[in-house]
Amino acid sequence: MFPDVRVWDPFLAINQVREELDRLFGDEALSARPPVNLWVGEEDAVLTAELPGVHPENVDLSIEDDTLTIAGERPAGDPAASGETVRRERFAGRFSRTLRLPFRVEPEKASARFRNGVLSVTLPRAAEEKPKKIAVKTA
Amino acid sequence: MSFKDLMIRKETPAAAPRKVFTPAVDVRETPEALILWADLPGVDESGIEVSLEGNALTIEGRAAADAAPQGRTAVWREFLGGDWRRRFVLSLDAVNAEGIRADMKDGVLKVTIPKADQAKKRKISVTAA
Repeated sequence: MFPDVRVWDPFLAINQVREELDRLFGDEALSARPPVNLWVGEEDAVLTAELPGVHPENVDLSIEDDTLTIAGERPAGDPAASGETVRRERFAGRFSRTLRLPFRVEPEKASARFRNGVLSVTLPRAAEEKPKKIAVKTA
Repeated sequence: MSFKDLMIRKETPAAAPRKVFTPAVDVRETPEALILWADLPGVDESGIEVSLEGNALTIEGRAAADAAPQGRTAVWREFLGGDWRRRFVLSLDAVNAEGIRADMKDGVLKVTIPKADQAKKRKISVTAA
């Protein structure tokens, strides 16, 4: 067995194409799946998510082994503004994203920061998951 | 945007190929004003530019460069860093252009466009033919 071979899932691929098309035509604006980026380094992983208008207290982050879930609620516009809706493209309501990280992390050492509507979560790698150097010996 | 504008844009040399995205907006109309909200994640107050040229209201947001957090590589990308731009056409006799205000908070731009006095009073009656 080759443990590193990825299984190609046609349904996952189809969903990805559909999501990319939705984004291309602007439908992602009303999606309950905020877009995320994942960056990986030797010491940690950094996740960024676009969550404009979301208050930090309305975001729940949960980590279990190598699975991260971001959930929360985005308020519907400005409650102070009455009147009638002329155009509505921005998503409002509950959202949730669950991601599989490439390694296990230490949840108690994770830190999150919100800046200009972009959430950034730093997830330190679990000690036993850090890359190990393997010495190559000559025979 | 007119055809001429499109031509000019096309000829502009792409010295710094920054990506420009179209933000999602909500618009509401109250008796006093039109209120517009635009999602501009990654943009802070200093990166916002709201301008009125003729009857075209343009909102622009400049975000920080799309850089990887130091020493890390991207393994999954669903959004890119870049700038935001969108243009709206206003009916100038219906709004008070001097009174346009813009506020930025948590990556959301709010633009308040007060109505002109005559537009506040204007009532349009609809009658069946």
